[in-house]
Amino acid sequence: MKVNGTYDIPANAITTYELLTDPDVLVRTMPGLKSLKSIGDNHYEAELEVGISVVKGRYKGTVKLEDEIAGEQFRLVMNGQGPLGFVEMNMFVQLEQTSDQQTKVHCEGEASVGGVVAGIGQRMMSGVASMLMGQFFTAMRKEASKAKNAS
Amino acid sequence: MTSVTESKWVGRSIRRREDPRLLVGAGKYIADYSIPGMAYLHVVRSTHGHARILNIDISKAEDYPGVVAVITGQEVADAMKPMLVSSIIPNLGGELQIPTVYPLAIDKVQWVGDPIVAIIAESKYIAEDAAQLVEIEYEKLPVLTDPEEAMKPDAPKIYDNWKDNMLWKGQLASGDVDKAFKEADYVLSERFYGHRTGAAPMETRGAVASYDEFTGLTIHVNTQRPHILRMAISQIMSMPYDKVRVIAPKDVGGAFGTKAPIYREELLISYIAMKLRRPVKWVENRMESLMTIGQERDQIHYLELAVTKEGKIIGLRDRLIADSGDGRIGVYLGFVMPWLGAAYLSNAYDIPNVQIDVSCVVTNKPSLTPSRAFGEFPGRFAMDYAMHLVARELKLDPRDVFEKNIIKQFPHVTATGITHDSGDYEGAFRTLIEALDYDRVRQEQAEARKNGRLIGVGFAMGAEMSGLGSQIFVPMENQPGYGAATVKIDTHGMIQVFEGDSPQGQGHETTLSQVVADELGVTMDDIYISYGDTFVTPFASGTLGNRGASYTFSAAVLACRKLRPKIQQIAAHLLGVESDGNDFTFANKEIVWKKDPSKKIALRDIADAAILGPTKLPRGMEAGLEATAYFEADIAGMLSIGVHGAVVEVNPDTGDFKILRYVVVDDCGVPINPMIVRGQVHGGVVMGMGNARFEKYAFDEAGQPLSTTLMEYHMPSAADVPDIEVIEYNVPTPYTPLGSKGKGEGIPGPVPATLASAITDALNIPGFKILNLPITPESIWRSINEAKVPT
Repeated sequence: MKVNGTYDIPANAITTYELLTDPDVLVRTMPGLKSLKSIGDNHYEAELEVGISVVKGRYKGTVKLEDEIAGEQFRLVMNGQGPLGFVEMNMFVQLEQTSDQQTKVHCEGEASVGGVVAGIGQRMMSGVASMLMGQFFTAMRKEASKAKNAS
Repeated sequence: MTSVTESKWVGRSIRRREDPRLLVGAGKYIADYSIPGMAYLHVVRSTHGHARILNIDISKAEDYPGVVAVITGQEVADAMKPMLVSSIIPNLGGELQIPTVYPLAIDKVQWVGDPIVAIIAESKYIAEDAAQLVEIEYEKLPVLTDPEEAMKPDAPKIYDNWKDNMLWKGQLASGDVDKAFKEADYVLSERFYGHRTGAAPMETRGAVASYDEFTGLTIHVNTQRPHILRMAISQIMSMPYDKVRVIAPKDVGGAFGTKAPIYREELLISYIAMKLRRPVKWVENRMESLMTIGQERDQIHYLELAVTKEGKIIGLRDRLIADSGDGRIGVYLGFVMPWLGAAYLSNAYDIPNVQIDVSCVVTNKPSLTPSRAFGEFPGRFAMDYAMHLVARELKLDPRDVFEKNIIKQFPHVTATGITHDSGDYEGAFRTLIEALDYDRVRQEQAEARKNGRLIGVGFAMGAEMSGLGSQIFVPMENQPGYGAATVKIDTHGMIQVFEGDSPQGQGHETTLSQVVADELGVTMDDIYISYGDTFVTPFASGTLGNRGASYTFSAAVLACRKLRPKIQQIAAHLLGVESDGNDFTFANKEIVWKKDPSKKIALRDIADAAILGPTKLPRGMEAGLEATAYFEADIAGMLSIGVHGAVVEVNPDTGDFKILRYVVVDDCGVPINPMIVRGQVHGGVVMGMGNARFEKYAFDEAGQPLSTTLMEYHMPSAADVPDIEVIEYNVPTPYTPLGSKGKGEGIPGPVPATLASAITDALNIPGFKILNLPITPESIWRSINEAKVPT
């Protein structure tokens, strides 16, 4: 399943990059992400809960950041396994600063879901994925505003 | 229901004897079986399409309260042979690579749903909860979901020790095909695809197994072939044959072929019962069922027809590529269906020169399992629709193209070796054309067109197997084709019939009673039918492939005919008359001397003498009244014809279509119970419509099944199907004692070509063609738009 989108964050590219790669911020903003524990350089152990209506999958796995260039780009690689199946995502994120306080975030990636959640929810999956992305960036925009107000 | 009468029972639409108990909810299905002290099995299945298993942590599941045992693959494998023992491997020539398979995956999974861990618990709910505590670590491997990709030389291999992904490769050929194509006036060449679909029986698979060291293993399982399963379990688990008893329940909620293979779960539950010395029950849930069984069809045909300008097909060439899935089921291995589909490809047509190259390829999907219209559904679509395309290209009436090619003389052996025993295919076809009022539909079509309405007419045929004789069945499945039955008159003059097959809704208690009632001059109420228990029924291959009315019932007739001379000898002795053992009539539960009808005796009195009072028997006569017979037809195979026709109206803007009429002309030799035959035809057509239009076992590119609920796997309901008109056109076969043939198996086959040809006729757009199943409004709309683009 392709996961693509472009989102605006009201902050410059460096701040946006920091927000998007800060584990504490990610736990607050990413729907379903329960915890992130560092286990190495840009490598985290994660607990996730993702699902569609009554079918919720709990997953344990890892989140890795790769190909990162501060303020410009990074790749987010997530893997999760749980009793009802697995989730995987590999997303390339590019930042394009359009003004002092505005950055466009281009996301392009592949996600796959396997097991019961896939079997039951496949028809809704891509809709749900873009909804989750939308929720994530809405939360991120709030974080950006908070960061601006704090500074 | 019945009254004492001399009228024949065969040929009457008697209401089914099975139905009262089913209608009041008193049927006994596998889920209704329980044994005191029984534990429950739940299977943990792969969530990956193709992966190595790096680690399995069962500790949390083992500690869960109520869990009896948690079992992994190696343990089960150590207790038995690899499952595909030679007796359940087909022997069809060609090149076969045999996968090694045990009940549970050991180090690798091949499809989403591949069984990995068995959880046995005090209740089904505990077992399912504990299953969520099993942690399996996988390393993903490349997933193959497209057979044409999997065939490429550089494709990753699904079985490490194979030379490629080719499960089976072979050729069916006869005649001079190259010459036919050289001499042809026209060659049609198209790629047809029939998607993965098939059956989804209301009752899923299930079993209850128990074991003790004195009597061995007893397994109740809703299989179509209890005797073959017994043999397989005995051989795979190296258990003495007398210590394995397979019992199929009296009531099975449909199978359609899906309960015919030897499955891994059947061996698994047998092992668990033996290990735990405790009865164990397993009933597959709907999601497991939709991701494991009922998946058939899935064939690509690169079909070429060499045709004369008059529309006579002189040559057929086909490259058939089947997506066999993992191929790991006993008896069929995922390739017997496409093989038989190839053998039946030329259908009801006389085509002298044929070459079919069959490639059955493994992919990361569940194995193909048999499904009604065994292996032939995509081929029937390709062949019969291609004949309509030929007619269009040559500007001939498709009716004439069909008539020109239909087999006219019997017996007829096709180029692929299939024997057509008897019948009147041409007559059946003409009857359909008349019933459709073909010429008038053509006029109406022209009228409607003026008003902007697009009406079309289409048709297709199906020459369907009617049981397979041993000549085909022994090489195909290593099993006898004969029918087997025992007829036993009891102490009270009632008749117990044992059959070696095991029905799943076909109504044998009714129809077999009708047959025996006629043979012995009794009523159906005097007869009771036993099946399913391998310790009491004669050996036979199972209820499948339209065997009932052709083979099994014929065996019951022969068994009755073995008994009749002895009954007459006893009657003569008791009546004190001279007899040659063949001068009595059997009627009204009495044996009546033809020379003087006042001399008669009740069958019950004869039974009483033969069983309870043997001193009354003629001197030296053996006591008892029972006989077993095995029926083998004196011909390699029997087939029966069904001709389907439809009138449809298509909306070219949306691609949607409406079926205005659907007509079936059907031959089953002699219908034993015409109501049941009609029911089979109705059910078969509905299944064909479901398969052709709605049902699809879909997968994403990672091999994840996308149709694991009945919302996704849409089977037709009453609202989705039109009225189905059935016209009987029966030609008794000379090869069975009653002239009867089986009916049920092949009926879905002609549906897709019937609909596709009617839609194509309605649209009347040059270049428009339907090459892929399912036929949906979207696929029609797309084809319309492709055809409109000038090339």
